[in-house]
Amino acid sequence: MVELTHAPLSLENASRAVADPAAGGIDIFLGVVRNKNLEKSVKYLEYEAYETMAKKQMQLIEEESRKKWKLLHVFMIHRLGKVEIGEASVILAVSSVHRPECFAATRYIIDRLKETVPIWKKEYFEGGAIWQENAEVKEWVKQS
Amino acid sequence: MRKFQFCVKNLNMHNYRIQLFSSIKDRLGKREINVDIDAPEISVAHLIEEISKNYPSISKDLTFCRVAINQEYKRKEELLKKDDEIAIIPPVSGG
Repeated sequence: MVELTHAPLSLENASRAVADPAAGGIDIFLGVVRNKNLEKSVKYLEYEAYETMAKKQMQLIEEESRKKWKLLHVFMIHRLGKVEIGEASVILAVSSVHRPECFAATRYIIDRLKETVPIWKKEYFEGGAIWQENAEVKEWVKQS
Repeated sequence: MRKFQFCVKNLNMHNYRIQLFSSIKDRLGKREINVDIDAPEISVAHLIEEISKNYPSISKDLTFCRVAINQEYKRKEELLKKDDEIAIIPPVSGG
């Protein structure tokens, strides 16, 4: 299940979304806004998405991960708009019967999300703002 | 006569609507641009060329972007039609 929202993210909702009596493990990852990037003090971030395509790409990543591992439930939610320091911008939760599958899938899904999902962050710092790009997209144009 | 020529020219042109995001959107101050091209179907590479010609201020940025057609990433040699949902995708930074 994938979602985009402008509201603060809830860890409890994420954990509830993947709960299952058959689950032996739930792995949850939170991406949070940190106060420094490349030696600059960050004030806050603003996220924007190509929403319809972002959801499609997130669903595609879920399907990919389900082909690689036997998973019970996958839940990923990304926040849009202004996000303050310390707040979560993304939460990903995966449940599986045993822990190796949910550990591996969580890592895979968050890495793929940062690589392909059309979401962008603008970093606001003292005296300006700049659109960021993820280190994961270095080969961005070579892929096309 | 002049008016007639104008009409003929427009009949041969096809309008492509292109959605913009993040840095490219800010650079042009627009969420969307329209480009007229003399073919109803073109390659992704051709589209990028035409946008660069019409909007030279983003031509360098475009070399770092990918193109999505109907919400899927496409390669340079793939074709698109004028009524497709077209978007320029700058390097992403979600997460």
